Formats: sequence, C-alpha cells, structure tokens
Amino acid sequence: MLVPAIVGHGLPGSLPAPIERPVEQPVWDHLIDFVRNQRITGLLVAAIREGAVPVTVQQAEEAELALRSSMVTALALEATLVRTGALLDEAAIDYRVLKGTGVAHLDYPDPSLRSFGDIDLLIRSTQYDDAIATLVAAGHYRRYPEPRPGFDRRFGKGSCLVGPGGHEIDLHRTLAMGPYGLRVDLEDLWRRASRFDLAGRAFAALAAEERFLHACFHAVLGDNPPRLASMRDVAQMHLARPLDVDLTLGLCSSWRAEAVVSRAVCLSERLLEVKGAGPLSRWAAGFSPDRVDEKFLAVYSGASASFAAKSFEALRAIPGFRDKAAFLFSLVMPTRGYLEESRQSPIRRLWRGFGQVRRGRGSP
Amino acid sequence: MTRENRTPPESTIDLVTRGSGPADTASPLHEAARFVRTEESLWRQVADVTLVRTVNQPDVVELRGTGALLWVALVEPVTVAELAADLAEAIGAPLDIVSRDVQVALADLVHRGVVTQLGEIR
Repeated sequence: MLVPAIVGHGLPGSLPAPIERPVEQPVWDHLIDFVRNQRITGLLVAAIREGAVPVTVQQAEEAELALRSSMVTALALEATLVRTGALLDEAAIDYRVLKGTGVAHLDYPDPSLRSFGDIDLLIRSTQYDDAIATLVAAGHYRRYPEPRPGFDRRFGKGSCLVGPGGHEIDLHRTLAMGPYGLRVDLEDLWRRASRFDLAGRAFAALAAEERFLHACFHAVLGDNPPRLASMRDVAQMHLARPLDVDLTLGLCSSWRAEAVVSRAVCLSERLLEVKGAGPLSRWAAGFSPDRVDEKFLAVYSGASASFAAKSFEALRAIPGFRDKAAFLFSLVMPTRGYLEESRQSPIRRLWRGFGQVRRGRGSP
Repeated sequence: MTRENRTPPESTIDLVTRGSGPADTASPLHEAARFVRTEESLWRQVADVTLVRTVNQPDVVELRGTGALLWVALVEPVTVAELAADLAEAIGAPLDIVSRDVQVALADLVHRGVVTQLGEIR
C-alpha cells in the first residue's frame, strides 16, 4: 500500500499513502533498503516533502541522506559519461545515451527523481567492435567475454565494460537479448534523437517514442522481477507527457513487440496503482498476445526464464540459415575464456535451455 | 574517510566540501570580476542541498541554504557585489557581513573548479 504511493508519486491519478502516521522504525528500515534497491529514493523524498507519505523527522533525514548518496553516484556516472562521450566522439563513433542518465534529464521534471547505477550507450553494429576497442585502449575491460569474436556485434544485446574508475558502461547493440532484441529494426533507433546537455556538452538519446519502447522492453524483458524504477519510467513516459501514439504503435508493430509493450503498460499501471485513460492504455488493456509471443515472453520472465532459454528462442528468431549456423556455432564452440567464465559446457547450456523452454510451454 | 570542510557556523553561507582543504582566501577577489558556474560543472538539487562537482574532480561540494542560493545566482555572470547585495536582501543580513562571506565562499568554489572567473581584470 505504501510502495505504490511512493513509486507512483507525481503521476496523474496517483494517491497519497493510505496511512495517517509514520510507520514503525523496523518497517521503515526495511522500506528504505527496498527503496534504495529499487532506485526510487528520489520519489520517496518527493512524496515525503509533498505530504504524501507521513514520516518522523529522523525518517525524513534518512531518506534525504539516501537520496544524496544516490545523487553523488549519479554525478560520478555523469562525469564518466562526459569522459566516455569525448573518447567516442574523438573516434567518430556514433552513440545514443540509453536509460538512466537520459531518462532522468528528458522524462522527469527533476533529474533527482531518477537514480541510476551505470551508464548505457547504444552503438551501431557496424561500429560496435571499434567502440569496444576505443574504450579498451583507454583502460576499460570487458566484464564478460563474448562466446566468439564478433558474436556481440552480430547477435548480442551488448557488452559490459568496466572503466578505470570502476564504473560500468554497458554498450548496447539492440534493446534486449534474445528474440525480441533480434526483431528490432536497429535503423529505427538512429533516425531521430532527443538532446540534453551535461557539463556544457550536448548528448543524444533516443527520441521520445523510441525511448518509451525501450523502457517497455527493459521493464518486461530486463530484470526479473522488474525494478520499480523501470516500471515508473514506462508510466512517466506515457502518462506525464503525451506520446505520438500512431508512431509508437507503428514502431511497436514493425518490431513485433506489441506483447512486450502492452504488458509493460498494463503492469506499470497495476503496480503503481494509476489508471491511464489515453489511447495507449486502452490499446494495451485490450491486447492479447498470441502463442508465439506468450512463448517468447516466458523465456524472459516465466518459469523457463534463463540465458539458455533466451538463446534457444533467439536461434529460432534469427532469419537465414547462415546466421543461425553462425549463432549456434558461437554458442557450441565458444572460446576458452568464455567457457571458463560460464563454467558449463555450451552444449549442456543449450540443452538446458531447450528443456526449460519445453517445460515453460507445459506450465499453466 | 575523506575530510569534511564546513564554513564556520557564524558564516552566512552554508557550504560543505569533502577532500582537499578550502582555498587560501588571503587575497580578496577583484570587485570588477564576474563569476559564473563552470561549464563543466555537474549538479543536482536534493531537497535543500545542492550537490556540485566537475567532470574531472571527484570532490562534491554541498551547498545548503544561502549556499544553494549562491549557486542559483551564479547561473549568469555576476560580480561579488551583485551576489552579496542579492543574498543580503534575501536573508536579511548586513551587507558587509554577507560580502565577506560571499568572498570566502566564492574563492573556495573557484578553487574547486565549480565556479569560473570570467575575463582578465586589468
């Protein structure tokens, strides 16, 4: 009851917490940990200051301290973004800022409302290897090896690099791993952009409608269970400011991602306890996924959710025999470094994925 | 643990910095000099506290109350006198005291790179 009032605070139709007195300290201690983990400390502090959540003086101070800590992190990450952007610009590598930083500055009335823990950048497939090489030359390293050279550029969602200061930079090639990521027409992500300024430099993020679709992908296909900050992003982007609904649904249809977007919209409205009245909310409420989409969604968040299951379904989604063969070969015959990292034979992983998908289909 | 430096309690400007010590303020700032937020500054407003740092310096400056008002006023180039006059009126404190405190705070912010002095003073 308290959590929806926090995570939905400020949205049209959101309600204050249904409590009249501050919660007991043990409950508060658990709540503040939860809020930090879910990256919604900014929303908690805003809700407290605007009278939507009653707290003691000490609890208010603790919430502000938690937010200050997350904003110190945000500033450090933005400094990393500025330096990384300079490296990529010098190497003539195009990029778009994804998620946290861009969303905080473009979609929220105050960037302090949105915490984030890393930097995410979209890179063109044709420049992907060059982007990795540029950052490695500047002292970054891959957190995880790719199965075979070129895998991430052709099939992967992206790679995580760690910078000299310890911050993580995720370089994305597409918006999700597995079948839904492979369905995205990547050129759509580069046609338009939204811009924001940081430290005197202009940065490009996805345009509003593409950014909303990415938020839906991340909310439904990302963390399992999804972080509340991701759910809030979905609601923030379509409830707090009007989107071009025709463009949004057009892209959604082109990417065959209707099941993802409708689930994201419905789930975010349910979790945040806000009811959208616009065409997008009505469309989402009326949409029913077909069996293929139900099967695909299950490998992201159902009983059969796993990297192996996503890989198995990704194989089915890859068009053309040559690409399928290359994908399978990479997973069946990975490099030694990849094997050491995964600690499991690739054939065993794929077989496990096949089994998980089959069990998932049999699940109610 | 990094050292915390705070403006004295009698100061009308509330400013907390961590890391290296405050600037040496023996030399007063030129009265005709104009000051503005450094283009490379990154900042966030968290309730009544403004957090500021630059891209290349990890130390975060916390500006509270009048310190936060100082940061707001520095969005456009201003002189020490203009800043002091605005702040003195806002907080109802004597101009000479506020001028002294603005000098100290501004020198520290320039030292930390979050505020820039514009142009050459002849």
